[in-house]
Amino acid sequence: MNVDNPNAHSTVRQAVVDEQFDHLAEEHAPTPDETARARDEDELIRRSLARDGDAFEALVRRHSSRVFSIVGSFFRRRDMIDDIAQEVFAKAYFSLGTFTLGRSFEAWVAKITVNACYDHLRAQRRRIEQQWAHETQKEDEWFELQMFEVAQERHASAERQRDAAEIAERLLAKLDPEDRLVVVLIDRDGFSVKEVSEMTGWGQSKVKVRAFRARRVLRAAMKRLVLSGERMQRSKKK
Amino acid sequence: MKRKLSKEATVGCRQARRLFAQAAGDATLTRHLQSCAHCAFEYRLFDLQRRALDLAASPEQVVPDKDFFRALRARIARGPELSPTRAEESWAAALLLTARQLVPAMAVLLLVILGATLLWNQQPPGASQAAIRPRERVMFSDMYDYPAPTRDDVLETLVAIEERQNGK
Repeated sequence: MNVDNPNAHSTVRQAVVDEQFDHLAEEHAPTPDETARARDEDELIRRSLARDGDAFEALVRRHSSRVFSIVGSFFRRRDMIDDIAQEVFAKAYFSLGTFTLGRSFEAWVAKITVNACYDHLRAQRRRIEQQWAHETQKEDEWFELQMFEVAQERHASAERQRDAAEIAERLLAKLDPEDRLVVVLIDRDGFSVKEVSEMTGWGQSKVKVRAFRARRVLRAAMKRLVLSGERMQRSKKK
Repeated sequence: MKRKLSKEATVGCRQARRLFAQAAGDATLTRHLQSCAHCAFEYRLFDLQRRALDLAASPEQVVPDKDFFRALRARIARGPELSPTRAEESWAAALLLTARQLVPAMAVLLLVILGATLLWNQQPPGASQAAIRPRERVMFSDMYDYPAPTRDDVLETLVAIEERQNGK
C-alpha cells in the first residue's frame, strides 16, 4: 500500500469491494465455475435449512468478507463491526426459509447487511443527538476545525487520527441516516446507483436524491471548515 | 499534432469535475487545478469529504476471527431475537420523533382553524343571503336556492335595466 497516498486505503478497499460485486454490476452469462459455485452454494443453503451448522458456517466464511466490508464502511469500532456482522448472519440464518434457491445469496446477504447498518445508523444518530444536544455551536465548530487540521496532515499520529475519526463521525452524524447510507455506498465504496437501489430496496430516483442531498450537506460543511481554517491561519500569522 | 497535444493536455472545468472521483494523480486534472482556482477549491472540498468518509470508516479490512464464529454459533443457539436497535425503539420515542417534525404543520393548521372560526362567528346568520343583490334574487331565484324576490326587488331591477338602457 502506498503510504504517501491518503486514498490508498480506500482504493484497496474499493478494489476488494469491486471484485466482490463485479457480478452484481453486470448481468452476464455465468461461467462453468460460477455455475458450479452457485450449485454448491444452493447445496449449502439446503443443508443449512436442515439445521446443519457446519454448512451455514461454510456459507458465513464464504460471504463474511463482503459483509464485514460493508459494515466497515459505516462503523469504525471492531466490536461494533463484529456485533453487526453477527446480527446479519443470525438474521440470515433465521430467515433462510424466505430465500429463493437459485438466486444470488450474496446479494441477499448484502441487502440484510445494508438494512442492519441503516438500523444502527439511525440508533447511533439518536444517541449522538442526545449526547451532544448541550454543546454550543462554537464547541461544534472547534471540533470540526480539529478534524480539518488532521485531515490536512498527511502523517498525523494514530491518536490524532482517532480524534479526527471521532469528529468526522460527528460531522457525518448530521446527515440523515438514509443520506449517509447512500453517500457512503456510492462515494466511498464506489457502488452504482442501481446496485445501491438493489441493496436498499429504494427506487433509483430516491437513491439519486439522497446522494445529492448528502453531498450538498457535506460540501457546505467542508466549505465552512475550509473558510474557518483559512481565517484561523490568517489570524495566527497576524 | 501540436494542436492535438494541447487539446489532450487541457480540460474544461466541467470535464475536470468529472475527473474528481477518479483523480489520484491524474496529470490532466492536476494541470487544470493549477490553472483554475475555482476548481482547485472545489477539489479541496471534494477531497475533504472523501477523507471524512474514510475517517469515519474502519481503518483496516476487518477479517472475522475464531471468536466471531463461536459468538455467532452461540447467538444462533439462543434463537431468533429482535435486533437491539428495533427493540430500543419504543412507541414513545417514535411518537416524539414524529411529533417534533409535525409541530410546524400543526401550528399552521391550528392558526387556520382559529382564523376560520373567528371569521365564521363574525358573520351574522343569514348575512350571506342578505348580501345577494336584488337583481340576482330576481334573475336567479329559480336556478339557485335564493330567497324569493320581493316586489321591491323586481321594481329595483326594472329601474336598473331602464337606467342602463338610457345610458346612465
